[in-house]
Amino acid sequence: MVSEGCDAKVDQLCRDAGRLFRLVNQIAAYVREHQGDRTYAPESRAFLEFIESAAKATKEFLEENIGRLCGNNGPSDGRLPARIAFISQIWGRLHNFVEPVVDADTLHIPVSLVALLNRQARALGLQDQPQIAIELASPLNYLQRKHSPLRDLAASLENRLSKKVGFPNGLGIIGLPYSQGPFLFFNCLLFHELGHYYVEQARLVPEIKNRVSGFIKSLSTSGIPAKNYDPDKLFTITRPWFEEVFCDLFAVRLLGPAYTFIFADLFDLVGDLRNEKALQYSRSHPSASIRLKQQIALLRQPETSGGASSWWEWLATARTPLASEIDDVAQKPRAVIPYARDCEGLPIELLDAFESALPQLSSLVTEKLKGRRLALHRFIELSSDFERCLLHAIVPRCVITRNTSPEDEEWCMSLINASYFLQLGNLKSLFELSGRNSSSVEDHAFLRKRLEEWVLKAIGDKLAPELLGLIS
Amino acid sequence: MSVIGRELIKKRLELPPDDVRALVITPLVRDSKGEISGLDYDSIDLRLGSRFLLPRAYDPKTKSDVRANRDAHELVQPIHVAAGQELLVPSHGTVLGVTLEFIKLPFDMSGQVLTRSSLARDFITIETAPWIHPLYRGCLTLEIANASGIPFPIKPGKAIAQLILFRLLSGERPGQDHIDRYMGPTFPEP
Repeated sequence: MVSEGCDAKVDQLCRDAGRLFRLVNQIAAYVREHQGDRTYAPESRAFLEFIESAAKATKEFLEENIGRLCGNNGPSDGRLPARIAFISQIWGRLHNFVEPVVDADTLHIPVSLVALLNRQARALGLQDQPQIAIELASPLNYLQRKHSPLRDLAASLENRLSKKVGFPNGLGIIGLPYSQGPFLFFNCLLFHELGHYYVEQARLVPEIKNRVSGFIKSLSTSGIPAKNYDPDKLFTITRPWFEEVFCDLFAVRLLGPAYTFIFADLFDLVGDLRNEKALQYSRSHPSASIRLKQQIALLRQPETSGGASSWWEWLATARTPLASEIDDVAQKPRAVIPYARDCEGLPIELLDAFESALPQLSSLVTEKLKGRRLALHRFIELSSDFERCLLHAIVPRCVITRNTSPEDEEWCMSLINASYFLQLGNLKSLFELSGRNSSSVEDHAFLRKRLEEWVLKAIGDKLAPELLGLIS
Repeated sequence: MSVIGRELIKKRLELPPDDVRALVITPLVRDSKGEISGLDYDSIDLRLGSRFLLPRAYDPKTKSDVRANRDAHELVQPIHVAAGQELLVPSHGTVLGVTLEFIKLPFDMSGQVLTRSSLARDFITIETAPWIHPLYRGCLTLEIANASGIPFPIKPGKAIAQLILFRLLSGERPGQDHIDRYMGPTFPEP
């Protein structure tokens, strides 16, 4: 309690401490209230527990120090006002992370896909055990919250409080659009965001820079005016572009060709696949056209499919016009104005040099994922059984044995690809079976939603038997 | 009708899924000897899934004809119970659950869902509309009623019911209109 003898400065400090206490207390109450009546994936729980633990430690710190100051119990800390101000700043920033994760309870995310994503993340051989929590984001897009600012905030807080707050070192937060909540296909773009997490956690930027050093050298002869030629600055400009392409190729390697199609599908949904925007570079992203071109190049390699022929050959015979549309976008010549407004003024030669360095990235991805079984090794063998189940409105059959294996993930990835390419077709037999009307948009949406639910159910069955106590 | 025994159940489970005679139950758990776990000589166990629907609390602002004018989904509150956690069914209360198993019945079989006797002795009833038609496909919505005076814990993954299969004597093949209007639900449906 604050004693009456406190002078004006102490009064001010007590007021500041009380204000911070109230903020932190309310954040913790918000988290607790939602944890009480909702369920969260283990990775989200780890984040929310960190917030609760940090709130508890902050409140204890305030009580102890203000109590000591006002009660004359022991020496007062002259740095206390600065410490409180700094802790307030930290909480001001932590505040932004909490609500979107709280929104992403298990009724609003594709639980089994997130479990699969986390399994894949844990197999990446990173130093800290990856834990990918999900948040619901406002934009119709996917995002990865940079891990290091959050980790730095936690470290600063621990430092100021002189107390551990239990931050999970491998924690990453990936956002999916709230409108896609529990669905499957668009949410497969989470694998691209996993790539960003990987780049950050494995500290790959210097390696990427090293790998594309030819690009840096070629800039000196590329015609860029000498006054604009600063290799470090030019790499800083293009780094996000390289990272985006790296993450695309990473996702194709992990998930398979469905990634490329889903990527194009989302672009198409927001209306950016068929217009000039698909050809434009922005500060944060290279053009969709060049991204698709790189993905197709990877899919053309027979090695990526794990078989004799390439995925792209297989896809050419698939039942979707989207394949040729993707090819068209990838083949389009560069736009007359290749830069979006946010990077106007960059030299055109930068793009020539950037694009010529991209094949190096493909080999880096292959190298980094070396030793991992290709996700779609048994795709052709498995896909006909998957299709037979799904076209008969049946969840793909899953037999659980005591011996779980890496093949479980391969099975799941193959299922995602098989079902995605299946639903690009007309699903005529499923309409006939269900007696639904193939000219009704609502019925189309319903059957595709069901299809995604069956796939998610099958993935959940495959991945969670231990958790459910089905095998011991 | 006659009750289907273990050997025929196994045979039907092995048929391709698009065969009208195929019985599909997924996931199936096999023990270390390769035997299907929970398969008895005349029944197979069904386990509890992790999604539930609870009756929504009384809302004094709604009118008395709420049931007539509302979507059935508005009368229930969906919840997810994670593996390893429990849901307490309140005393004299009912919740809707769902089987972990997705089922597709053959064209010539009907099914009946029975409460496991151990649960029945705890005053728990699993199903009050227990009949399943031929060609049904989906996870089964279960009405889990607690007739006792104390709350009862239920846990995802736990075996809670038994599926008994019967063969239709006529051998008549049902038409497509026998496909359930729910069309393969994997969550409990109100």
